[in-house]
This record gives sequence, structure tokens and C-alpha cells, in this order.
Amino acid sequence: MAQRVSGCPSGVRAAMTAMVASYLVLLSHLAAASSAEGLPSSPNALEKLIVTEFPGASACVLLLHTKGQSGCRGTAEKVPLMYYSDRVRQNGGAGGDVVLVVEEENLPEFLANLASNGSSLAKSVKGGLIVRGKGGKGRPSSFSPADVFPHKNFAPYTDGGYEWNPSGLGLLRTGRAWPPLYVLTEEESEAFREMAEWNRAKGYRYPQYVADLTTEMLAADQANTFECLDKSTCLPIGGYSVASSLPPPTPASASGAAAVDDECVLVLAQVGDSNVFHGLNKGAESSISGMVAAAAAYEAVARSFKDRGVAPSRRLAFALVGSEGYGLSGSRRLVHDLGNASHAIAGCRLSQVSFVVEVGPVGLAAPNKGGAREYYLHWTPGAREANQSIYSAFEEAADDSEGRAVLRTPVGTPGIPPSSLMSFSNHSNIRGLVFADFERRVKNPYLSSYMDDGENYDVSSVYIAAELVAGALVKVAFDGDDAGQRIDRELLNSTVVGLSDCLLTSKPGMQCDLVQRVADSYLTRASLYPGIVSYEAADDQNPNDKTDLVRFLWGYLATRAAGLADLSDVGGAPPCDYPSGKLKCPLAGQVCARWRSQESGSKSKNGRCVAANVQYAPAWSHHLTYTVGKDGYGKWGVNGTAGAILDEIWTESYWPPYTPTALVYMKEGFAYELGLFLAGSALTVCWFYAMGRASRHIAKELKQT
Amino acid sequence: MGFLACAGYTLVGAGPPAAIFYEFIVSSPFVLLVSLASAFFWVTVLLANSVVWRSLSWMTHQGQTEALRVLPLISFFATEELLRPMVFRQTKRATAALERRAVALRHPRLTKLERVRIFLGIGAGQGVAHSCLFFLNTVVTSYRGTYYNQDTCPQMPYFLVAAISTCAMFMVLSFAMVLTSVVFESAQAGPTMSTSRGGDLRKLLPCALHAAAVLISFLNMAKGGCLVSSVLNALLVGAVVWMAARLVRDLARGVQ
Repeated sequence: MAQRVSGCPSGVRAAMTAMVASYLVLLSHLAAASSAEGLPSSPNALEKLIVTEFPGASACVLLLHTKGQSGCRGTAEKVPLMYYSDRVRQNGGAGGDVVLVVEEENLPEFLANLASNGSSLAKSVKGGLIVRGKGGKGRPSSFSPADVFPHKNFAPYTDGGYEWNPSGLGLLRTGRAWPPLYVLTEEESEAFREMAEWNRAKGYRYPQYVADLTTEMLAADQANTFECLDKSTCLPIGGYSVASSLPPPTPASASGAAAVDDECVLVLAQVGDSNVFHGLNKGAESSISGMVAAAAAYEAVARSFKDRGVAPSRRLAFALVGSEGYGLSGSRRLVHDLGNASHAIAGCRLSQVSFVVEVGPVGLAAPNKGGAREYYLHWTPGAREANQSIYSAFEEAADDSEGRAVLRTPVGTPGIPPSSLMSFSNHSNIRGLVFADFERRVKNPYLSSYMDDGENYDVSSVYIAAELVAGALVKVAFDGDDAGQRIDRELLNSTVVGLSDCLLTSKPGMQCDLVQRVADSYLTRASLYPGIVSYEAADDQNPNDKTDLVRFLWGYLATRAAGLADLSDVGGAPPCDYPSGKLKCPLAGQVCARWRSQESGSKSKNGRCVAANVQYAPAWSHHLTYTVGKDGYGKWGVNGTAGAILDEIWTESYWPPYTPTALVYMKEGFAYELGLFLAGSALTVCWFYAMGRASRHIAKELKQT
Repeated sequence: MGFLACAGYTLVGAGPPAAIFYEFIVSSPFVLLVSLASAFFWVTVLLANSVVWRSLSWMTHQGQTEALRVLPLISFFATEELLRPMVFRQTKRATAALERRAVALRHPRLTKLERVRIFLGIGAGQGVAHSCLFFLNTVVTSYRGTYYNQDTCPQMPYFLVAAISTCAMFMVLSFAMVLTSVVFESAQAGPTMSTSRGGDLRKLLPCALHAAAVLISFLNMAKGGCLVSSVLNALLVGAVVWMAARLVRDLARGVQ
């Protein structure tokens, strides 16, 4: 047997060569363009490849109002994904449980379908993931969850059938909430589309991508605000308005209060709208456009007053009203509080208010044939005739704009459009106007939706509106005694552009200079959601429980009130500890405003004393009561019943930690998994048996030899 | 249902190895000890290799990612093969020492098959090291969901490919070490054995077997290669079992 292996026999060598050759051929045939993505290098990397999370997605959470629920609640576990368009094609929507992948252009149709009674789709849909196109592409022509006549219940006229917002779907104040819905960011959408395409390519059969959606809400079982506040599973949506009047008080004379009874003109603007998707609350056209125009006008008017040097005959009280998307909560609270004769907003009592100017949506005024932008003045009944001076002030301001703006009076409308001004309708002696970019129908195709963002906003339109409003307000304040002063257009322009950048972008967002100088904020994207109010603070002027945006607006109004030629001069004002501390402002009529000076180091104090009549005003319903029990715990309640209260009193449900979350991963079908398990078990059992037999056989052989 | 899938993949990848381990290694405490020591040794070897490659990863260039994926695997293979003669010699010395002790205590000497079993233990330890580092640590993730590598293998789940590959590698490594004990021994044995040239060539047999398994795993990097590699792995297991059966039969009959 020694020669058996004297060398590899030629046959074996030939076989080996053939094997190597065929292996190389095989490899070259199969090697296609390989990817840069390698095999996962560790269990963590593998897990990231398998499970996709969506940290940037915005969820829809559960809100409640006096007459029902709104928003989303529920969980979905291991539910397969399917495109909405494909689902509707099969059986008109009926079928097994599914999480729908909805392209933005199908979103209005999808939500309307979900909300309609007896929809076959609604029964089987366990959730929805909304994907976005790049740069706002792929949006539907309109998407407005608001009513066709928003705030109809508060209108001062009876024509409730008028369609201010014809594309409105009426989905904000629903009865029952929806299954979990998430809006993905643009980057997440790109990657996610590949997963949905995989499912579609596989014909929606396993192995396919499934989703785990968790939107567990503690108030899911309560039907409305009354029940959930009673069971302490929710908290009221709060928010604050910020108000300031011009000209600011001269510190020495404030204690003397010389001009206590001077006439006030109230200037209103809404801060933020409501939104089905919690984190995307903006309302660029519906609220921010008017707010930016009003705030920029405030600065320009303050500068104009300072330059003029003489106090005007009418005071202007600016109020940036919060929580207006939640049943005009802020303005209704404001009007209710003013009903108390001694209560004043920015130093103006209700008896002093002779007129209200509201700066409504002004971001979509398109140029007409002559290149001028058209703005409309919506007057309350008889207001225009009774206040000719105000009308002429606006007309003159439009003339001053050198053809950039033209003013019109709307024709064919039943009265004022949905606005904060509606809250004043109980006080028929208060007259007012709403300054807006639309006549008979709201120009905004995305009212009260997340699509009302920077893409739906024209900065030039806002600037021209701000110019017009500022010019008109100066004339109104001096009641026609115009010394021919001009509004500082450059300042106005830079403020409008700056505020728009801060509030509508994520870069620089709230980290912009304008915000950071007068407020502390770590946010990038501005959040206009008013937030909940957890307890009734003893001092509602304390900035600690206010949102970043509201604190910024307060600081902005405080520092611009004096109309300084160079804002940096605020740094030269007497220092103080903000918000409170040892060093206070010595004179009455001064407030301590946050000021971030250019000089670094702890030597400079963080606030400066500025003369301003600026204040915070709560924006939640006066029907809400906060009582502290014997155990020291406080509880919110509502003073009144559903039938008697007109206020909508919105609340937000509590939710557990790690909620809401969305996860997507691929799963095999149950048949495959069971088969795999049985095959593996069978394989193992066979091997154990075979090895046992082999072992016994070897032992037997050993015994034989 | 994630549990069923995870258990299934583990059974496919680690079930047959467990059978071998249980039947031939666990039954003898000494072999078990040797096997576990071997596992620790080979884990250390593989980890040391990984550390070197991770520290060199800063040298990655865009176009060379293909080569860089393959190089660490080749280095694992090369290190293990270069260490094989050393492992053989050390094991021989250890078993010789054990035998002297046994004889001193008037116990019977080790039979040929018992010696082979010790080497099987070493090889199985090597297989366990591979399983732990390349399969068992990731198969737990199959509980969360499945994964198909879209570019190279959309036909089979990653975990299934890994399971079959691991099972085959275990078998190959275990048997390769057994083969080592035979072919390396025969090169040193007396004139009744083969000529030195044939002996040297035969020393490469374990290396060739290991190389075959590694080359099959390279097929996974090609588009659709995973199907081919899984089939080849299954065939390789069959071939290894057949070779093992023949070897054991020859040894039991006292034939070289």
C-alpha cells in the first residue's frame, strides 16, 4: 500500500485543475458590478440595516375638545406596508390589516376616506406613513383639514354656508381619532420609498416590509375634554399672547400715569395655526405672514415715533395672539379678560379701544397686471363709514408705496373673514378691519396643514404689506397730523426677511441673530405649537414656562419699543438680572429684557432695562379652572357644560415614554418561519441520531479488531 | 414570530455542529477541556487579526473596497494555516505527556482513535470560534427581522446563507484538524509510510480543504452567488462526512 500515495496521480491532478478552472469561470460569470456596501461588520451594523427608525418623522397625537377627539391613537404591530393607491385599486380598499404608504398628492383623499363613515378602507387601516417629495414637489394642489368656513361658530353673521375655504375637508374637529399617522422627512422618505417599492415588486406577499407603530395615548378611552380632565389623562393646550403698546411709557412719568384715558387702537396678529401633525405646526401663510408684517411694522412705527419726538394722539397696542388655531382660544380669552373694566392689555383698557386692526394672511398677494400687489380691507359693518380717517390713512399709505401696493374693498362677502376680530363680535361698539391678501376666498390652499410652510409664502408680499401697515398705523396714530415722515424701508425689509428666515427655515432657524440676541433658545426649527399648561402659575409674567417663540416675541417687542436708531444701543442701557434676581430695574415703566451682548464673559449682566409696556397674556379659555387638592396635587377642570360653552377647550392626551415611534423592518411569512424551524429541528435531530449511530458503530468496530 | 425564525436559523447553523460536539467531545472530559482551550485560542487569533485590520481601515480608498473586503478573510485563512503545524506539534507534546502520566499511573495507553478524537476536539474548538465570531453573534438579530442584501443576494435571506456557511465551515475545520493528525504524523513516521514528497503534498490537504471552504464563501460576494455557495457548502459537508467515515474506517482497521 506504500505506493498508493506516491504522488498525486495524473487523474487527480487533472480533476483538480478542472475544478479550479471552472471555479474561476463561475466566479467571473457571477461577478457583476458590486456595490460599495459591504457585509455588515458587527451586530449593531446589521441591526441598523434590518430595522429602520424614523427619528425625524412627525407624529399625529391625540387631542381632545369639548365635543370629541381629534388626531391619532393606537398601535400597530408587524402590519404589512402597502401603497395607498394600490390598496384602493384592489376591492376599493377592503382587505386584511395594512399600514398605508401615502404619497403627499393622495393625502387629502386618504384622510377624507379615513374619516368618512362606513368606509371599507377605514376598518382595515392600522396606520399611515406619509412620504414627501424633494423640495415640496409632489404636493397636492390643495390640502386643508380646516373647515370650509373655519371658526363658523364664532362668526358675527348668520351666513354659515359661505365658503371662505372651499378646499376645506373639515377634519380638525372630528368625533373619533384616527389610527397612527406619521409624516416622514424628505430624507427619510427617499430611503423609505425603496422599501415600499420592494413590497410592491413582491406583490405584497412575504417576505415584505412591515411596520411597528406606537401611538399609545392615555386618553384614548375618553370621549372629550370634560372626561379626560376629570380622569387626569390630559392637560389643556395653553399658550400665551404677547402684547406691547407704542409709544413706550417714559419711565419718570409712568407712575404719574398722565395720559390714562387716551384712545387706543388695537393691532392684532395671529401666532401659529393648528395642525394634525404635532411637530409641524407653522401656518406660514395663515399666521406667520401676518405676524411678521405686524412685528416689522411695530419696529418701524416705534422708530418713526422716536424720530418725530412728539407723542401721538392715539396709542397703538400690538397684541400677537397665541393659540388661535384652537378655536380662537387666545383672542376669546383676551376679549373675556378685557370685559373686566379694570383689566388692561399693554396699558389699554377696553373702554379706551376705539378700533381694531388685524393683520391677517398677507403672504400670497400676487402682482396684478400693473405689477402692484392687491390687499383687501375687510371692515366690520359700518366701520368704514364711521372711521373715515382710518380708511384715508390706509389709502395714503398705499399711495406712498409708489405703485407697489393697491388697496381694495371686498365685494360679495358676508362680512369679516375668519380671524381674531371675530372674537370681538360681542362688543358691537368695537369696530375693526382685517387686512389680508384675499377677497372672497382664502388664497391659502394649505390652510391648517403642514404644507403651509416656507414654500407657501412670498417674502415680497409680506414686506409690501408690512410697509403699507406701518405707514397707515403711523398716520392713524397721529390722526392725520402727518409731518410727512417716512417709514424706514431698509429696516423694515431686513426685519421682514430676518424674521421669515428665523421662523420658517431650519438653518439658521431659531439660531439666527435676530432671535439669539433677545432670547435663549436651543431650537433650530421654530416651534409654533403653544404647548400644554400644566399648572396655573402664580405670576404669569415669569418667562420660565413660556415657549421659546413666545419669549422671543416678548424680547423683540421690549427691545424695539424705544425705536432706537441702532439696536446695539440697548447694550448701553442699565443692566439687570433676567428674568429675576438681585439687580432689578429701578424705574417704573421699565422691564428687564434679555440681552446677549457682544462682549463675552460673566461680567456683563444678561438683561437690560428697557422702557416698554410689554406683557404676556394667557391664551387658554377662562372656563378652565385649576384647583389644588388636599394632597397638594392640582387638577384642571371646566367651569360649565358642553351645551353651555362655546369655547372649544382643546386638551392634549398624556402618552407613555418612547411614544410615538415608528419602526419598519422586513419579515418572512409564518409558513416560511415555521418551515425553517421544523427543518432546522429535523436536521439537528437527524445529526444527533446519525452521530450516535456512528459512535456506536466505531466502538463496535474497535471491539472487533 | 421572530423567535421561530431565530431558533430556526440557529438550529440550521449550530445544530449539526452541536451533534458532533455532544457525541464525540462532551463525552470525554479531557477532550472537552482541550476543545474549549482550542476555542479560546482560535478566538484570540481571529480577534488579533481583526484588530490589525480595523486599525488599518483608515487606508480605505473608494475604489479598493472590494479588495479590502476580501483581504481580512484571506488573512484569517493564512494565519490559521500558518499556525496549524505549531498546533499539531503542541498537541502531540501534550498528548505524549498525558500518555506518560497515564502509563505512570498504570492506565492503558491512548488508542489511535482516541488520539484522533483529541484532534477532532481541537478542530471543533476552531469551528466553535468561527461560529461564535461570524454567526452566533449576528443570528440573534434575526429576531428583529430578516435581511436580504439587495445587491448581492436578493434571493436568499442573509441569515440562511450565514447559517449554512457556518455549519459547513465547522465541519471542514473539525475534519481538517483530524486530517492534520494523520498526514502530519505520517510525514514523520517510519519507512512503511509514503515517500517524503508524497507526504509533503499530503500535508497540504487540510489547507486545501479549508481553502475550498473559504473560496466558496467568496462566491457570496458575487451577484446571485449565494445560491451557488449554499449548494456547494451542503455538498462540501457531505464530502467531509464521507471522507471522515473512510478515514475512521481505515484507522479502525489499522490501515494507513
